Amino acid sequence: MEKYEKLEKVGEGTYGKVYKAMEKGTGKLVALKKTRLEMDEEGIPPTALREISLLQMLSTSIYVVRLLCVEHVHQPSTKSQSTKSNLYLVFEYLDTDLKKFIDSYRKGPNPKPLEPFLIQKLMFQLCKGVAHCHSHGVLHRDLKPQNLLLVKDKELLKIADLGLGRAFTVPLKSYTHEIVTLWYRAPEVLLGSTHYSTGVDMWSVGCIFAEMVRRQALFPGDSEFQQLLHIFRLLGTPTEQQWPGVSTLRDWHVYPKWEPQDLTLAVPSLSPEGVDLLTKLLKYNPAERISAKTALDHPYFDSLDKSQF
Amino acid sequence: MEFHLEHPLSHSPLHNNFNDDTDDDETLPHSLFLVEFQHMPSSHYFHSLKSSAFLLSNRNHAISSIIQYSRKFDDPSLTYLAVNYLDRFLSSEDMPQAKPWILKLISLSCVSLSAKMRKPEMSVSHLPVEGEFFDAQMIERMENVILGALKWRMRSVTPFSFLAFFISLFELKEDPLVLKHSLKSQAIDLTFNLQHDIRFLEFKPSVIAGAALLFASFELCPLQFPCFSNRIYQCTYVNKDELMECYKAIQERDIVGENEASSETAVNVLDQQFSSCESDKSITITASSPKRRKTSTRRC
Repeated sequence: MEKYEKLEKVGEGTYGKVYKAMEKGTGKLVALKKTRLEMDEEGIPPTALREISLLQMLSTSIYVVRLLCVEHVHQPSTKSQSTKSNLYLVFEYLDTDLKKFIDSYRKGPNPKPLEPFLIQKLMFQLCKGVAHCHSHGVLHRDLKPQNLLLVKDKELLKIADLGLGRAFTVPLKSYTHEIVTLWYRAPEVLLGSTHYSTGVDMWSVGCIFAEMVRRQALFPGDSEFQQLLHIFRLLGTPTEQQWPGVSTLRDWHVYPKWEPQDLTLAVPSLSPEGVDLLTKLLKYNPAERISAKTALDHPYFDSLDKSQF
Repeated sequence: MEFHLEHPLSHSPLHNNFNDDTDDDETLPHSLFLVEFQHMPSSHYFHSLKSSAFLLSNRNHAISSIIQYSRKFDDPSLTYLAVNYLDRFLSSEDMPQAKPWILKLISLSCVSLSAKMRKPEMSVSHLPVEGEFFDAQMIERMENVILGALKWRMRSVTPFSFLAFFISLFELKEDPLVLKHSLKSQAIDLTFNLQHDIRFLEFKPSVIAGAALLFASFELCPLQFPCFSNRIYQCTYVNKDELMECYKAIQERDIVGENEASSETAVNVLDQQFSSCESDKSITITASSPKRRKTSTRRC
């Protein structure tokens, strides 16, 4: 790790601290993600091995943040104790993320909405990246604006914090006790479903889409229960008819019966095609939710010059 | 989920739920064609093996060790993967004077890593290694050195990754499923056998896959061969000259095997080595021509 000089802590990923650092030899900026590994006497755990090598291959897509290398630093401890070791994932460094970007439109000296064509362009790249992961059997599970990195001048979006879902189980709180955001979490996950699939990411894509249009979160819940109520108040309380099996999910309770609101009111500046795509992303029944690949062909993107991607 | 040589990227059991991704076999390899060179030993490695009998014998010893250590897993893909790691590792390191025990440790660590990718529930820590004792820490340290040298690219892109894609290019009239299955299983057998022959180290995995399928088709359905070869040549990612060269090398190897005249080829030297240290009947790759050798299982 002597190769890198840590410059500042830039965040807490779900699985550990993230530093901005400089590669001493080249002056190149990188993001260092530090992950603690519990080693047993068998060396590097198979799950970590398989997932990091997967990350390594997924990061060949330009819509996924590039993993440059992996540094394994470990201090062998006294015998019969498990070895503590740190894994540093070295990623390309990007200047900003979608959260900061949206904030700059909301809070900056000159607040204004994001231009519709920019939202369209970012959404297309997001769907491209998610489609890439899904076609390789990988769920992200924690898509949120903070995890979408941007190259500002090129308006290029890349998905980060990906693929470590199995080796490092998703914690409710990150290990620094920062509360993991629930705002983008799909209703089936909030209701305790254990057999979820690609739909969980598509729900998050929908929430992120709405947030770009509104410049504020669509469902800003502060507990799992509040999160569900936020969703139900806008989309209506789900029924067995809409979503077969919903009332048998582990954490289902009897909720007030809200009627669905007109989604247009939540995203007034969005075009009708955009509202249609959003509606398909926020379907209650995960099986009916639009897939990333299908979304790429949605009429909302018809006016986009796709040859640039 | 286990790592599969045919599908280096897919990873989760959820994969089957993706109902709109049925064309995976056609879409997946494009990214694989772009990265396959990262999963090959360097050309420098190939040339030094050709020119140095010492290095060649090191590699042969290491491969014999891998075959021996991985035998208890009874998984040809695991062994294949370990040898792939070995070649890529030896190619990245400059070690003209590697001691025999280091080679054994490298071989064991390649098997350990490959087992973690293929069979995570099984461990190599209690494998007997004749004449040597390697403790867990030594294996772990060597694993780390190998991981670093291979840049953690442990989902090797191999010829197996391209077979389904090339077969999907073929138009088959009669009994398409049966023929596709036979083509694939012959190409798989052949690919397993080609790994030990250093002549094939210089070819890209996709080139070996294409050539192996053509060779199989020449044996199984010679009438369709011209059509198949056209299909493969038309594929944007395939270099026709390389493919021809690889195909010729497979043919030559086949002829040599059938005549059994030359026992001095790398493959046969290796075989003799196995026969000297193997008495176990479970591996029947000692006798006969390379072409007829079959590994015990065909799955990969």
